[in-house]
Amino acid sequence: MELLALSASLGADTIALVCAGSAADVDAIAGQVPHAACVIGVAHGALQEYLPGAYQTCLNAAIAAKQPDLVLISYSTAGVDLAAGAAVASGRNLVGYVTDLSVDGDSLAVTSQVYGGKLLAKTGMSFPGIAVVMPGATKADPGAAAGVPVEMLDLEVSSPSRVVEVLIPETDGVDLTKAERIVCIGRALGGPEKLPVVEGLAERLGAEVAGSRPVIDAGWLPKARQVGKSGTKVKPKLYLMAGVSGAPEHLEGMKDSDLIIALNSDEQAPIFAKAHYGAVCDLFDVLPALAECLGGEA
Amino acid sequence: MTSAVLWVMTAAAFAISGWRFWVRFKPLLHAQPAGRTDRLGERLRGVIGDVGLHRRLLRFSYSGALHLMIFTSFLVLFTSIIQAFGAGLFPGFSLDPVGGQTWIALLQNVFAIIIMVALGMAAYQRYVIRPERFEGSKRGDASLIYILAATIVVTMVLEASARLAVVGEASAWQPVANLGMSLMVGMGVSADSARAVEAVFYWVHIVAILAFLIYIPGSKHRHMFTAAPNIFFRPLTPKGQLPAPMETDGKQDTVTVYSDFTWKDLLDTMSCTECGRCQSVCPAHAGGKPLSPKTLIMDLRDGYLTDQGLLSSTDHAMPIVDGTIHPDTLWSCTTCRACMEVCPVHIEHVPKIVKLRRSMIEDGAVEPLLKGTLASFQSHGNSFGKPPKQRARWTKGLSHKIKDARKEPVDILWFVGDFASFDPRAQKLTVQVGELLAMAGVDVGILYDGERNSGNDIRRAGDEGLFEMLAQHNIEQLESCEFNRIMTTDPHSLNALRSEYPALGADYDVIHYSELFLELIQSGALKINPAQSAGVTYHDPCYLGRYNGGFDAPRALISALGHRLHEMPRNRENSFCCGAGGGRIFMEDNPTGERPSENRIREALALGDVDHFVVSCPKDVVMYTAAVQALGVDDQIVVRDLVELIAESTQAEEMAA
Repeated sequence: MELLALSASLGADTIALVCAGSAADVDAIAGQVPHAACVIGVAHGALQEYLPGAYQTCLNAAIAAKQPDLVLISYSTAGVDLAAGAAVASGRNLVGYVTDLSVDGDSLAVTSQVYGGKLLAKTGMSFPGIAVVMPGATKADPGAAAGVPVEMLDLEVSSPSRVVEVLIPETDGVDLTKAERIVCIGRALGGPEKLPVVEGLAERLGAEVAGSRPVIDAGWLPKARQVGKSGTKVKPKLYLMAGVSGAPEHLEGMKDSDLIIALNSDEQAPIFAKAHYGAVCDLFDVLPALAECLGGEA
Repeated sequence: MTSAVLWVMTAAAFAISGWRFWVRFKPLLHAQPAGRTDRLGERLRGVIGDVGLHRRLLRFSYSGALHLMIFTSFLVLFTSIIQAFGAGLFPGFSLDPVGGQTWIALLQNVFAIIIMVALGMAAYQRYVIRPERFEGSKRGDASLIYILAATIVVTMVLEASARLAVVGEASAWQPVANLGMSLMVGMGVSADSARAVEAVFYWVHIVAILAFLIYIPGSKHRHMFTAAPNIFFRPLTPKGQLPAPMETDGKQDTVTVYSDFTWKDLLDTMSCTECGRCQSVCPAHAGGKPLSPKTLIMDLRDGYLTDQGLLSSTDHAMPIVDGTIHPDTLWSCTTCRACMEVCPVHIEHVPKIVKLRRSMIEDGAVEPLLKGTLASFQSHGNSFGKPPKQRARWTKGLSHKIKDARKEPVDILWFVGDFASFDPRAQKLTVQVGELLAMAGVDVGILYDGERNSGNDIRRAGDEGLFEMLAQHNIEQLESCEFNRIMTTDPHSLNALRSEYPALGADYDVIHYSELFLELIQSGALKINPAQSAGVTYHDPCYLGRYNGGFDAPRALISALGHRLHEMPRNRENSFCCGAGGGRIFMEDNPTGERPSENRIREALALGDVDHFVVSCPKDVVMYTAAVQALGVDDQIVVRDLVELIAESTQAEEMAA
């Protein structure tokens, strides 16, 4: 969507490439594509699941058929796979990590990240070219998806690799490393039936719930929510911990958090030496009260 | 005629049995050398102790007693085998002139009863009591042996009974055979038919013995022949010294095929009796980990036999690691040595595990968390990922400046160790040790940033190269210092310095702090007040106790301080590992059952009247503090290090003075 909006902002005619397992799927996706003058569709069984080889064939064929001045590819797992291959196959220039681009006469002015995003580079690129665009470079603009014509491309798609099995990591959808705020609970919680107290607060804070090792051992929370040496190492903006004494193995997993607030009933708890703010209190008094202050129903 | 038939049968049985032994043991000739031919007298004494006197077997009293009964019965009843075969093969041969019908017959009668009772006890244990340690052992094998042994004994008695029935006269020397005779006479067996009955039992007796002989090479009962040599060729190097890998062209060999093991390793697997004593003491097994020392040895044996084409088992295919033995099994070991200490035939489990770990490390197949720790050792020389400069940061907590042993001579060089230097819980204790040493006027110094991890657990995790690097560094540092003795609070460092470094040419007098403090208190250099008295229990760290025999000093200290020591059921050689050793503390420890440390705390709690769990190892402080927390029993028992008890006692003395 961002790419389509970006393309539209350049004031050029846009052709979208849609690959799917069946013609019906191509139509369904094409029907939602805004800002495009035309949609090229490829339907083939090998495109049911993502296979780099198969998708590469489609992209190369579409570029060869339409000879566009500029190919925009998103900086995604698939985009990174395909962009370089397309550049080699079509002999085009390629700029990666693009955050902004505009047409400058008969060439393209491209801004891209270098050194892991620490510096920005401005590049002049002559047409025809390929740009791999970072997510968030422009705002997606849903626009009206007027039923544009779909031009089906009949390709013999094959891939040297095949999908054997799709493995879904057991994370229950949680990636603590990505959480900006974490509420971590220790053994002092007492039992899984008390979890709503923590979850209520976490919800209001927009935080993820995590636990120290005893909590995970006891099965109150899944392993993916364990913080510490043998769990996940996290660095959130806010790490609110309740009833965690702060064993060195736990500290190893969270000591670099921006703001650490510790609640513990034991004033001797080692965590108070590490926390930015600490309070000696009963977590069952404070957590619900805090949730209440933050508003909303418990 | 009889003689000819027996000759043929006997020769055939010996040939088959001999061949069955030969194919199983021939590959030992092509395995690696083990260097076990020194100190022959000491080796022989070990065999006498553990075979003749059943020293280790009797630690399990029921099994030990029944084994002793069967063992002595076999020796005594061997006379009956000599009689049976002697008379059959050499007509005219008889033991009668030396008492074959008198005292020898009496002994045979008595031991026939003893062995039958023992077989009954064995069967009762295996089928009724069913101790957990038999889980995974081959039951059919054991059953067949019970049946064969019982057949041999019963036919022996009945043959003697029939012989008496021929004459129709009881013998004062054969009370059991007399009963059989009475039975036969009572059933109306005539003298003539008694002769036929005697012949039948004679032949059944002979056939059972020869069947036993043929069966043995493929059975765990081969230990009748292999136990004594296996004990004889046991390692006599220090318990804490692992064998270094063999080298070819300056490159260290790893174990990838069975012939990469030493012949003694293979003999070990062929000597296993599947008794499961090792399994019953293994902390990994108790904690639900995939390791059982018994099944490990059995699997290596079956893998070896499969590799030789003597067994067909898809579970025991090559390669050894990942084909026969799962990597997780190997990573589960804490190298606590409880299995080796208890094994009646002195099988060496731990060195085999380390050899296979080395091959995993060589292949880069390393437990994920361990991998990171090893990298930290490589770059920083410690497991905490801290710069070496920070190693002596704990000394800032001291009231005085401790000497730098690299700059001036000292009496005692204190090798502090990683956990004692870096772990916040252990650091406090390290400071206390420093204060007490100063109080006692000990001339002590440390290596400051010159110290590295001793490498003890790294070697056991299988990273031989890293161990050598760390050891060489420490040895170089120590070489440049002047001191009389090395002291450490860390049993793992103690083991490396005392047992491993000598193999690298660095031989020092190394003591544990428990020994030094005992000296200081006994000499009066450190004044204590023994008036305080608490109920305490003491946990023997594996690397102080089992590995280095340091059982007494900590106990003497505890009683010198006036505390009441209650021993846990598993103490001294049979102490139960906390679960941290062998690099386990650097690995992921998902609960698969009860953690060994938590199991141990519950053992202490069950004593009652104990409120201090006393330890003498920085890793134990960490492990047991966490265990007490995890169990939520902080209000019932407190983990205390020896040094805390000493410090309290000296403070009490100061107050009193």
